[in-house]
Amino acid sequence: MLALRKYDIYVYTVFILLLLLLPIVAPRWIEFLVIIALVYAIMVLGLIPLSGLGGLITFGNGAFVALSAYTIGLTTRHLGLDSLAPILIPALVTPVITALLISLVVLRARYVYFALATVAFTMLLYTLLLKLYFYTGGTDGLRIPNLFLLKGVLDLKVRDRVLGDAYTSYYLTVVVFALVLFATQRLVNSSFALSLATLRDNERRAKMIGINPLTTYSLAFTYSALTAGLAGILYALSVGHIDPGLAYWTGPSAKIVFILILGGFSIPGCILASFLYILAETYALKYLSYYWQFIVGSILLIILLTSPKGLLGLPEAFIKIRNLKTYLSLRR
Amino acid sequence: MVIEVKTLFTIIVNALVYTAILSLIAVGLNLILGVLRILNLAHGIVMALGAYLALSLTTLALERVGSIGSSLLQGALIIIVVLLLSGLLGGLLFAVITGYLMVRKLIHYEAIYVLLITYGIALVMEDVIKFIWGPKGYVIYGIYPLFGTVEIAGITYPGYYFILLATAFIVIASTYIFIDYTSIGKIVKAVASDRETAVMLGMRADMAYFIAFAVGCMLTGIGGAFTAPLLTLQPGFSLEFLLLAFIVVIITGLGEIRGIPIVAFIISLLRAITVTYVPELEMAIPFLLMMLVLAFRPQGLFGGR
Repeated sequence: MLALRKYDIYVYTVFILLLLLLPIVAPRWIEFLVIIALVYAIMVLGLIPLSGLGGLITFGNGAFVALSAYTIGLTTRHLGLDSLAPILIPALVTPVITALLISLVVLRARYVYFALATVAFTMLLYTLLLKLYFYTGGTDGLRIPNLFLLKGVLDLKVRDRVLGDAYTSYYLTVVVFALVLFATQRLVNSSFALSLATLRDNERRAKMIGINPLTTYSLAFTYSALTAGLAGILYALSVGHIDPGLAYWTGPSAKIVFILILGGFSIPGCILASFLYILAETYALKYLSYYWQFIVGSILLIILLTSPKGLLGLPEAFIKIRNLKTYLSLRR
Repeated sequence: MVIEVKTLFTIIVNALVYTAILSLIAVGLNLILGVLRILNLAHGIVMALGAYLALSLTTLALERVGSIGSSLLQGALIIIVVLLLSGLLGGLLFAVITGYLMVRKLIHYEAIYVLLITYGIALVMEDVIKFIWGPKGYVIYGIYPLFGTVEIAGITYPGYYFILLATAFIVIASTYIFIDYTSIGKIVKAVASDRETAVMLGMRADMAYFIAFAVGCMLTGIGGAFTAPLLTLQPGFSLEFLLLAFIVVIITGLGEIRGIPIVAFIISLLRAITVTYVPELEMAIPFLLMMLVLAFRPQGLFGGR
């Protein structure tokens, strides 16, 4: 694995090129699954600095997804805007500012307390989205119109079929995914990542050598909020409908923590895990619509109980079960 | 704004009923949290098990009560016993099914993994319940008439409300007595505070953990069974109670079972007031409180340390 790490960037580039070429060869239904999987991958990648390196798990990123999605929904509905570009700014600024402010409160707590505080925050937003139905449409949610990218300059609609018969938003999603992927890769190899890891291992010692826990953690938290916001925008544009369930704590918030742990907190693992999770969920929903929770729940239980390292740790877990001696000699 | 006496009494009675349910669930949740250090997201399932068992058993019992032609008092007593039994049975069932996993495995896991694994259990068990009882909603008829009505300040309330209050009071009080004054309770406390010393003194730690877990589950089961006649039973009905119980637990302090009824009453009262005057904020205020407590007093209002 270590030898491969050097070529990570090339592997990712090839992967993204493949994603861009996918609509030409693959049938249409795959496109939508890939969009959703990529949206989840974007959120999970954004969590890697905070949760993987910093060791703080949040169950509240659904709040930022909902904030962005609802910013788009509300501006199009109440201000009557019909192109995407001007909405992008408020849709990204809202989660970032909220994350900065909220981090002042939630980052006073650590570990489980932090996780619960973020749950409280996302549920707070959920109840507001649910109950202020005059603005937000309550449980019905909001419809996202088919926006222009930038009216007058780029007269292309988000859900228009372009190259290879795919939505414009498909390419948008792939591009944003690529940006987040490379940004996260860069972050993971930066000194910022080292200070986060130091904070996770020993906060008091980290303070002594001059790392400010609040600013470091709150930057990581804001990065996760920014990616969640991006994911929210892409989700809203591609699906065309949003509802308060986005902010519910067992919605995207809990799913991305699952994916993160299934992916073993590593970048390739998380991308793989989000694709597999979306596939598993979709097929469980298709064939056992009443009992899909049973399937998803038992898969998660099996993986969590057998292999704490996630999906990429599964082969290792199996080998451990078989207790192969060759494995021990190869390990080094 | 003039508050009418009627509204005031309605608010207080509603808050008390909610307090009874929430306290039963939250004490169970917090007992498990205090002894096993497990934050059990599958606790809603325990409640649902109690409630659905109550549904099946009371339906059976009500048929019998009708056919024997027994008096109202006898019928009421039978129903109370059946509700208690179904709650205990539901809790015990869950404790037996997941006990091994909880006591032997989850105790050693990190808190976040525990959250996710118990959530996985909740997903699976919820579908098992759906598989047995079906996805439709149920209402239990025939329990309210057995208990008559009570009139306060010109408004009639079902007598069942007061049975619920009394049961919750007795059950919670006996749990406190069990933990503080019986030898088993003392062993549970000893194992919770220092496992290794307790084991060296010859106490069976796993047994103590299982007992605490089972007692916590049975409390919640009773809560579920006594809630069943109040609402429509459908998959996922327990989630709202679970969330509020979580809020109560966090505001009280993780693992602290003392102050729970008080915090439960505060939350229920706030909820009843907001439902009456600003229904938009029904759930928002508890969550806001929870966030502030976590940020500024993470050990909870009653948690020492």
